[in-house]
Formats: sequence, C-alpha cells, structure tokens
Amino acid sequence: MTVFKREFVKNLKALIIWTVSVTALLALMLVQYKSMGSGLDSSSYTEAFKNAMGMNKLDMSTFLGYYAVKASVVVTLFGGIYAAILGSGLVVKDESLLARPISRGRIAAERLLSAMASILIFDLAVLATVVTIERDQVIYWIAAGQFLLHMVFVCVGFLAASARIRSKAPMMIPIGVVLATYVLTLIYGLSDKMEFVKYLSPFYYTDVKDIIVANGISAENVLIAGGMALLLAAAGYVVYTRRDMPA
Amino acid sequence: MQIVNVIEIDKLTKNYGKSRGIIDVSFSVGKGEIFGFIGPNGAGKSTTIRTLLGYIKPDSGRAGIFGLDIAKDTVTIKKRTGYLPSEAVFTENMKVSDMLFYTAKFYGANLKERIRLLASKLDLDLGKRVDDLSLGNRKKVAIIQALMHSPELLILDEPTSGLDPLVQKEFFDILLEQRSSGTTILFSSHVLSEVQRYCDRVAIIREGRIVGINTVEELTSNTFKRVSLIGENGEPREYVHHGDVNKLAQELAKMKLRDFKVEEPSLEEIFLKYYEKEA
Repeated sequence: MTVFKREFVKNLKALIIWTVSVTALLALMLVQYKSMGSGLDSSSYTEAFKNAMGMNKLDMSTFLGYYAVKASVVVTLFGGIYAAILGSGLVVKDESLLARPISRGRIAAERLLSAMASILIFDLAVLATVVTIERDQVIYWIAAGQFLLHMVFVCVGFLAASARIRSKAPMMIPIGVVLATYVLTLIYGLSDKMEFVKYLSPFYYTDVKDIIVANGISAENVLIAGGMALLLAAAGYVVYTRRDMPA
Repeated sequence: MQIVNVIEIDKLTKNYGKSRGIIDVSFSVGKGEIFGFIGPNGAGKSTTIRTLLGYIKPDSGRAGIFGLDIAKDTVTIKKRTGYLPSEAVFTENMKVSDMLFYTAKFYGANLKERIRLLASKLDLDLGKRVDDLSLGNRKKVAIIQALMHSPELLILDEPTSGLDPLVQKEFFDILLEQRSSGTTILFSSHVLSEVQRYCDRVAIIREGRIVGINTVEELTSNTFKRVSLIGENGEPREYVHHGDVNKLAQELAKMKLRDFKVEEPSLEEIFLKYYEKEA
C-alpha cells in the first residue's frame, strides 16, 4: 500500500481545503435557512425555470426542498470539480516510480483507491454537516448519491489524464465535463424535446430532488452511476497500463 | 544453469513515424560486463533503454533481461535492476531523505545505511527539498535511487550529464566497485572518453540502427588508424583508415610522399568515422 499512502498524503492538503470550504459554505446556507427561511417565493419564477431547477417536484419552504434545490448544488458541483481535479492528478509522468518493482496496474489501482478514500471523507464530512443541522433518513441516501456522482468524476479525470499524459493542465477537460453534464440536467427540464440528454449526465442518476421524492435512491440508478464510474475507471486503467510512457 | 547474457535484445523495433524510433536493434550484454551505448542525440539510445524497461512497448522484436521477458516479467526485472533516467524528473517536492526512503520501500529492505553512504560519497545533502536542488544534485538523487538496492544490473541513460568532474569520478568509482561484485552495467553516453575509459564493449547507434558493436580495444587499436600524409606537391591530407593495416601499407607504398604519420585515433574520430554518411 506504499503508493496508496503516498497518494493520500500528497492529496491531503487539498482534501482539507475543499472539505472545510464546502462544508463551511453549506453550513452557512443551511443555518441561514433555519433562521430566516428560504427566501424563495416560488410564485415569482416562470414555470420553465421551476422545471429546470426541479422546483416543481418539491416544496421549497421545507428544509429538504431548500437543500435539494439550492444548498446541495454546492456539494454536487464543487464536489464534482474537486473530484475531477483529484482524478486528473492520479496520472502524472512519474519516471521515477515506473522504475520501481511495481506494475502499472498496481499503481493505478492504489491511486484510484486513495482517491476513493479522499472522496469518501469529503462526502462523510458533508453528511455530518447536514445531519447536524437536520435529522432525516433521506440525507444518508443523498450522501450516497453524491459519493457515487463524485466517483464518476474522479474516473473522468483519471481517464482523461491517462489518455493525455503530456498535458500540462490535465484537469481542464474533466472540469469541463462536470460543468457540461450539470448544464445538461438543467436543459432537460426546460424542454420535453431535450429529454434524452438527461441520460448522458451522472447528475441525473444521483439527483437530490429525485432521491427526496422517492425517499431513497433506486437500485437502477445506483447501477447506472456506479457502472459509469467502473467503465471510466476500466478504460483509464487499460489506457494507463498499455500506453507508451513519454520521456 | 549458467546465464551467459544478462541482456538479450533481438531485432527490437519501435516506429514513431518520421525519423525517431529504433529499427532492428540487436545486441547482448554479458554478465559482469560494462557495456557502452553511444550515439548522438535522437539516435535511439533512450528509446532502446526505455523499451527494455517497459516504458515503451516495441512494435516488433523481443528482448529479455536475466532470461525473463521484458513484456511479461517487468516487476521481477525491475526488482533486480537499477535504472537511471537521462533526466531526473520528480513530480513531488519532498525532502531528499523522504524521497529516498520512500523509494526504498519498494525494495522491501532496510536501505537507510546504504542511502546515507551513497549520499555522503556523492556529496548530497539529504535535508534539502527536491525542488530546491540544482540539476546535478537532482541527478545524484536519481543515481542513489538506481543504486540503493545493489541491483544485479544497472541501466544508466547518460549518467554523467550534469555532474561535475569530481562527482563523475566518484560515480565511476562506485560503478567499478559494483562491477567487481558482479554487477552488469549498460550505459549510454555521447561522451566518448568515459566510454573509452570504462567500457568493455560498445554498441554504436545511428538513426535508430546499430551500426557497430566492438570491444573498446578493437575500436581503439586494431582496425582504425589515423593517417597524415604530405604528398609530393606538399599538399597535406588526413584521414582515418578502417580495415586491414596491410592494405594501408600497400596503399602507402604506391604513393609518392614527402612524409607520413600513422597514429591511434581517438574514439571520437572512430565515432565520427562511423557516422560519416556514405557519399
């Protein structure tokens, strides 16, 4: 587990910064809601906007409604970006490590596991923050969905960095993917004709509003989001273990 | 069973498109040998070495180290091999001692004493951070990484570039010490004097192809002569003769000369001779 430990230590500072920032921001929003209400008067929005934001599904005056529509975006989106950056950093041109008696497959596996550990800590910290403020069973399900979502983006980063190992800024494409797939989930709400695009986005399968409405996350969605992560990880693994390593 | 050759390369080919890459590279390095691999920049030295170590996958051809397949047994091979890349690149800014102790973990042995010994021999400060080191000092870190587990085989890509002469001397002393305990060494270079001085045999590579494999003795004594002539009309001429010396004597006998001189050429000249393109 030498590589796992090293990778985890290497990424520890970033983990602390992201975790503290996101949970602080989230706590601020939730505490503010608790004391002053959402301030969201749904009657002032157009139907299209409400559909896009999913406000038609939930009562915005409840804590869960507010968390789903507004506050959780901080976690899904910022967490997604953090995950993408973390994933892109898993593959670097390490000449020195490749000279050691360890296979590339082992390096990739230990690093992916280390990223998984970081993401798990991040999402557990988020979960702890939310349940401290409001106790509800469904919050655990939401956290599970967010963890799955973030793992998908770790794997996007991992695959992109494996394929473009010479890249000086490997996180650019993965961050773009996070933002683009997020925008896709907004678009599908705007028009019926755009319905199909939602299936491309991991945000759709782990949607906080849907989890609240269903009071849980469906096995089907877990399988699809998990499958996305696995498929991306496998593709990254194949590329990383087979490619030529440039000097 | 006795393994005669530590490295066995058979028609290794890697095509990068255009001119880079290697074509049909074959040679072998015997146990306990110091084998030099020389050629100008971009000739394919690093490509060959990186293919041997599994950084690059060959398009065709085969190679074995310790009788093991380079494609299948990389981990075992690397356990018994020390590799020094031509450029010491570190992706993390750690303290030098931490970096080296981290490296040592992969060999599963306590190498701290050995690391401290090598560092003091090479005059490397273990307390600094890797990013604060000069190019030469970074190279020393990489050298210690390659040598720390006392490997049976050392593969060194341009080992002396960036090192000052005193450290170079110390470095070669360490190599000779390793060799006397049975280590096989393959090193690439374009500094001919060091190849001449330390190697038993050399392979010369040009534009991706091996153009000659000789013992250093062969190269420097038997077959090459630098000939300086002053013809009848007083016109001086110099060239390097390659081949049978009797032929040279016959040639010279046929000419009318004011003066002539036949000397041992330096490896440098022999090297250039190899590189001369056929007109």
